[in-house]
Amino acid sequence: MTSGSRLESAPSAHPNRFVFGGVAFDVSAGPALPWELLGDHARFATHDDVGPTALAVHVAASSAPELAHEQGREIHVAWKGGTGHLRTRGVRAEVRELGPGNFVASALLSAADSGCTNLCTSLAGALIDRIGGVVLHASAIELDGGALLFVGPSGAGKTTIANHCAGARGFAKDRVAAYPTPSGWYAAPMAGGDEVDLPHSSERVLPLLGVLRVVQAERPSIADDSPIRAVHILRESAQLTDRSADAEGLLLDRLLEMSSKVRVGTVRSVLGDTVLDRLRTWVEKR
Amino acid sequence: MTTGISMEARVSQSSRIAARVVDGKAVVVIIDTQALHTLNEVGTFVWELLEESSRSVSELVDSVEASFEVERTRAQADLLSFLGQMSELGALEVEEAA
Repeated sequence: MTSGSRLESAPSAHPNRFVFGGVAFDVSAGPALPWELLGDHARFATHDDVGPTALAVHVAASSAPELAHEQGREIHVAWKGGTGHLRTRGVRAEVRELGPGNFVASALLSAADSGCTNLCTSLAGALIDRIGGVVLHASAIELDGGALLFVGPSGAGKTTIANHCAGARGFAKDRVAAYPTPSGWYAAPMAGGDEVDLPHSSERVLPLLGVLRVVQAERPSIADDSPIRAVHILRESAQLTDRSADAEGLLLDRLLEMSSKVRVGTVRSVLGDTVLDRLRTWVEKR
Repeated sequence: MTTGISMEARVSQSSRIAARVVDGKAVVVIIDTQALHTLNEVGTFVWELLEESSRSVSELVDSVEASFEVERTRAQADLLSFLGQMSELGALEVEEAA
């Protein structure tokens, strides 16, 4: 990843240049396709230049009214060499990899309200996946300049533990893109999920401090996990839309690589307990 | 445990799994159920044998007996139990000889 492969510093509030999900988008949209990010996509996007901590993609987007009536939420991505084909509701895209972390895409979008946001979510996920990252079902807080992720199945207490981190800022509600860069692993929030009851972080890309599996317990504790347990924890929370054996094997490879670079542990929390000091101690204990 | 698997049956890995060895233990994901299992030392040994090609149960018993300090009857009973469980989970396919 070189600085030359990055987007030039974007004029502030340029609607078609933004960073979302760890990807710096630069979108050329035709006049029939008014570009607008909605809801969480707008909230978790930034117009700031985050430099080499994000991937870069230039998208030429055109309107395709015939895609407006598609149903379903599945995202299909197939790569052959350096070219990928992406298909999801209201979106078709062909993506070419120009160099490390640098992509160009042509996309057909339905002009329906969710077309642009579907493209952002699906393309960011596909590119994060392509460079060895992963999208995790996680809440996250900003802690001392980094992102700390909480994972676990529904009901484990991901949002609850974030809510008990008074003094920290909420970084992500439900989904986080985690990805490698030349300067380490980074995290970026993606859309969806219940609101975390903390002041919002203004950061959209942060160094990844660690991933903690949340378990409700009678006695609080935080501990690192073994490599095998780490793979279990990450796989339990990783998003994978391709159910082929090859895709699952590649995901295991990525999770193994991630678990060798990112701390993964278990936090046993007591309902109502304030955990921030213990989380900070765990993060600092390297 | 009675598994109904004969010594002549051929065993192979399912095509609907993904697996990697981590710290000497096989981690197996069964794609259709999204279940993830970690095998012990002997299970990993058998799993790696099956990565090369399908084997008969008796061949697997021979290999386990030769590689671990275990009596043949014990190796056979443990192996049949393991194969039955893994087959039920969808990780292995067992084909009885015609």
